Amino acid sequence: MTEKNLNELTDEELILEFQKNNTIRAYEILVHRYKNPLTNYVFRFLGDYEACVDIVQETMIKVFKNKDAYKSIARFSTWIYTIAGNLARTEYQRRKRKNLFSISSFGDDDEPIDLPDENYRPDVITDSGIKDEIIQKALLKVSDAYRQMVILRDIQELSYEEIAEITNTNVGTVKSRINRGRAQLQKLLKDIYKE
Amino acid sequence: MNEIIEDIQHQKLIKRLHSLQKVNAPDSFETNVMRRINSEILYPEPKTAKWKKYFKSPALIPSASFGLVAAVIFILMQFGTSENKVQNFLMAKPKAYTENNIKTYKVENVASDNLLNGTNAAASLLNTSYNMEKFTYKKIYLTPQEKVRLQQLKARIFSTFNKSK
Repeated sequence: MTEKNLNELTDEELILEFQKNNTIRAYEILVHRYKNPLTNYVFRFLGDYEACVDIVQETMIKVFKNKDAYKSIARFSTWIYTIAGNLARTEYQRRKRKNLFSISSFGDDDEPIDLPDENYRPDVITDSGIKDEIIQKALLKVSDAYRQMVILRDIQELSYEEIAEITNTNVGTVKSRINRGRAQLQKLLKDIYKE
Repeated sequence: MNEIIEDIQHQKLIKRLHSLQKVNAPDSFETNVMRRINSEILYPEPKTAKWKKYFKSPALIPSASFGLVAAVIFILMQFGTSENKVQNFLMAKPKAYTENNIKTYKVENVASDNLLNGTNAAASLLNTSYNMEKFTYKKIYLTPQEKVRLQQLKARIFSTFNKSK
């Protein structure tokens, strides 16, 4: 199969080509297609770029090693997002145990949490980069189950069905968790949106 | 319907999240992945024995060898039996002079004093009937010089014997 033909294939066709004929180029194209979306997803979940790159790399290695575990009944994107999500959650739990993060326990009590750093008050914010940073910090304060779904829906722009498949839950749970996650985030960011 | 209402409620937030700057993988990402695949999966390095890991640095080999030899010597010195104990070779007697290697003769009917008394001893030795089978001896290997010296002694004994005759 020529380079042009491979580039025109869908993700599912590429992984099938890689499974059947061990075409490394097909795998390379998949890596190229997913490296940035996965990096963005894992970074928004963990908030640490170095760790995020390692996790995405590990995801790609797992895809290579376990290519035969992929069944064509599922979409390739949901499969690869599931792997990356599991690795990211494991890393997050490991870090949480080690207290590398100072995460407040924003459980189901729905109490608002204000950002502690006064430097991030809206009146001192001028740059959109700083706003991004504030949102990222607030996102890290949202409980991890909600955060994952908010990222998948509102940043990665996946459908509810895909998110349900990735997180191994039903669509109803996905919707309610996304809603709760958004509410938490909204409260955290209330100062910014008062303007 | 509910979804739409919820989305409207958080419209600003959703818009803001959509517009967040995308974080991309580093330029070397694909190269690093393929390098890892090559080294870990396609062409993995043959497994080395665990003990070899300790000797990755060649600087450790001489000191480890010295330590091992020292440990063996210490164990032998401490726990060896009196027979097996390592002796100081500077203090030990040369092998040629140990009691086991001294040539001993036992001749029946010949007094040991006579053997040591010069000509009388030689005479009595010849006069005494003895059987070679009754000798008990240990075989020793003589050097050429010792053989020459022995021949000279024999000649002297016979010459003395002839003179006395």
